[in-house]
Amino acid sequence: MAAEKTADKKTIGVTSANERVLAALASEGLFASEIEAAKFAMAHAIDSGVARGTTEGAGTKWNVGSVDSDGALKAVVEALFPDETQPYRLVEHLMNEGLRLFDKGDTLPPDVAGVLFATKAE
Amino acid sequence: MLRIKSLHLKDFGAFKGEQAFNLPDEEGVTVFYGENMRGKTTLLNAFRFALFGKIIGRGRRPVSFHDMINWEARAEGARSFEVRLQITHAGAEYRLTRTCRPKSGTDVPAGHDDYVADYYLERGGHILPAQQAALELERILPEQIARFFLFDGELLQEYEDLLHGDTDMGPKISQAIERILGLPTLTRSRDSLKAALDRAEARVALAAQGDQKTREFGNQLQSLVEEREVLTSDLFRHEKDLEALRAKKVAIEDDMRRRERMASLLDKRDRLAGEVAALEESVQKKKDAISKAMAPAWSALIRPQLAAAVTTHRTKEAELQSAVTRAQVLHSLAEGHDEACPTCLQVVSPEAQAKIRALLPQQGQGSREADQRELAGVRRRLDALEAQLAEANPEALRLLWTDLEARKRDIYAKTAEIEEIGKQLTGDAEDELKGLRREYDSVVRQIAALEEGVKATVGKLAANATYRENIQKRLDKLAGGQMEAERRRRDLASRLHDLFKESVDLYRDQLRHRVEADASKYFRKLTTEPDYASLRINDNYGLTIVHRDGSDIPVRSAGAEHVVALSLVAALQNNAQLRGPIVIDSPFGRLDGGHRSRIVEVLPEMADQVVLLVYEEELPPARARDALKGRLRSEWSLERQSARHTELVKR
Amino acid sequence: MSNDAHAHRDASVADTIERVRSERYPDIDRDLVLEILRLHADGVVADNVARSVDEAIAARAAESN
Repeated sequence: MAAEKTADKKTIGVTSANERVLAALASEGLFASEIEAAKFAMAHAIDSGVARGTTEGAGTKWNVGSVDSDGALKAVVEALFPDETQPYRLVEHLMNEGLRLFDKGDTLPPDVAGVLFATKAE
Repeated sequence: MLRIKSLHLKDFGAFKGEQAFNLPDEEGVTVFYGENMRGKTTLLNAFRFALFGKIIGRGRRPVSFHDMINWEARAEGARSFEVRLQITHAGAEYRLTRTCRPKSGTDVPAGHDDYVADYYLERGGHILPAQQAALELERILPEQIARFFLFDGELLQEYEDLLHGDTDMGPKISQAIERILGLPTLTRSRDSLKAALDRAEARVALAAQGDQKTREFGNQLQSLVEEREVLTSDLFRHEKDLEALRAKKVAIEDDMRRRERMASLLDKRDRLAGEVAALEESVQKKKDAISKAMAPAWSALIRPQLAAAVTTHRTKEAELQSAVTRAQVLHSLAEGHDEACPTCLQVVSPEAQAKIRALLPQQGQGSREADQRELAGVRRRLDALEAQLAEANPEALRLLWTDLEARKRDIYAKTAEIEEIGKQLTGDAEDELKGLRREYDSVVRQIAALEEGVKATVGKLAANATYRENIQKRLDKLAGGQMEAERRRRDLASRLHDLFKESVDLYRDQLRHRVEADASKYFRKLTTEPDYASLRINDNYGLTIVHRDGSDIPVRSAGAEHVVALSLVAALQNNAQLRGPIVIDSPFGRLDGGHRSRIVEVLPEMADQVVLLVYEEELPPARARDALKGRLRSEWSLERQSARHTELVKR
Repeated sequence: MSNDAHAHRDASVADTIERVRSERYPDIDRDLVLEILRLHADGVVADNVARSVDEAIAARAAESN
């Protein structure tokens, strides 16, 4: 386990509990793909001040190459979390935490517009 | 000259038991005042029933006899109603009695078809035989022109429609107008002469066939005559069919008008459904656009964090940059690559070089390279941050989403409205209306097809006429015996036909001018607009208002149209061959007080005997008396006894 | 409306046709025209109008010969 944690992840996944939220978020937010929805969830987590950490049992869903083909995601996470040595592990954690934040149960869809438009201008 | 002496009613509509009124001998107006539901229209219908055995309700629909028996009387056991009309016509006294009772064998009548309406006509106290009675009645007041004598707001509405010239009622009303004006004698003569001419031509052909010299032409002529007969009967049949179809079209239009509200609801629903479909399409497009725009939405969420990171990275970049630069300069000076200091431009002495070298080992080669790597990393992240910031456009996203929400709300509102309309539409009404529209379209198509057929037949008849004329001309050169006499008859018939044809046109023209002049006269008396100078008549007896400056008044208010329609009816009365009383039910429509007074003033000029049915609010008795003065002959009230019992009371 | 006016109107159909006859068809006998009109007058229903018309025409055609 320690060995695993020393190297950054090559794949990113969501927990089985978050799969449902991801699907709902993708549909409610009219995202072209679940990857985009997951990035949105990640941003929401960052914006909500979620602390660093790791998510266990996320499984494998995407290769990091698909999630971050131009490396921008990694660069941004590194910029926002200086000294982070395993940015993709953090990305995965933030995505899952964001999805958890979006979870309103079965009945209500994730409040995409509310989150999006609560965005303050700098 | 037809004049009403009295009308007796028994259990007719609201008029329970036996009731009657007399109309005075003197020329003038009799006014019946009655509130709504008291039986004004029933009184008008009493005349219709007596004369034609018909009772007409709203929308020109026949009223069931079953519903015309006074309700209270029926509850008390009455099973029949009766109307008796005493009139004078051409110096003779007539008494017309029409009774409606259940058909024999009907124990409990339940509907219109369970009744029969019989009448008998007495002249000078003697009952006329049935056939003669029918002829006399037809002579006294033909049903077709009764509309000019017994009329109401609906008739005026028909005229208003006529003014627009876009209804199928036009030709029908024109015919009725020509009938009342006395044109039928002429047109019947003309048509009968045409038939006589055809017969004469056929006899010429027959005579020609009897002679060796002319047989060939005779045969040709004979077959042309036969062809003409076939074509003519085709034409006749087609025109009859056309007439029936046009009547059907009018009936359907009537029906559709009555269901107008339903139709407008259906139209509205269809329109809304169309709008919803369009909105849904635009919503889909909008969603696609949003879908594209949502890809960088995540950076919009953390825009402040990104911006803050940019600031710290810029600082870091500057720090690293200056450290790297400083190290490079020192290194270069220590190695003696440069003679002078790049900052102060003074030559660096060997002592100074040694001092620098002494400083350098603490910042080894490795540390310098680490700084360089870090600088590159900072720059890479800075580039990524700036790229994300550039893409993050929360305002554009907000606009897209707001727009989408607005459209969704619109769809929701419209769908709710569609549901609301759906509740008001019964399944039947919708199907019926759809059926009516289908039927209407089909009738319109059939009419178009028949009209084409008629046109083609008319063309063939014209060609036939040309051939016949040619052969007649050749035959004329080969004159002989019997043919000579037939030809003289034919020529005379032909000349006579031409004479009547021209006379019909001339007379119709004169009539139109007379009606136009009279209608203008009445119009000037009725209108309260001094700038309206006259009316101009068209071929269908439609009328256009002409302004004082000679220009047409294209758009008219409902009130103005009502006045024009009244002017036309008055002018027709004035020019009718048949003179009689007029019975008018609520002729004021939406006219204002000024117009109402004027109409009342003009009434005595429209006919010798006028019966006016009004309610007091539309024509207060004081105003009627003031407008009519000495020409007001008597006043009656329709007084309520109960909801279903009205008494005629002289005031 | 006076009786004179009515008489005038009733006469106007005959007047009109007489005007056309005298101006444009002087060769046609005036009485024949009136007879035709009478045969088709309002309210008179005659079953044998066609025959009467033919006979009237035949009689005048023979006379004018």
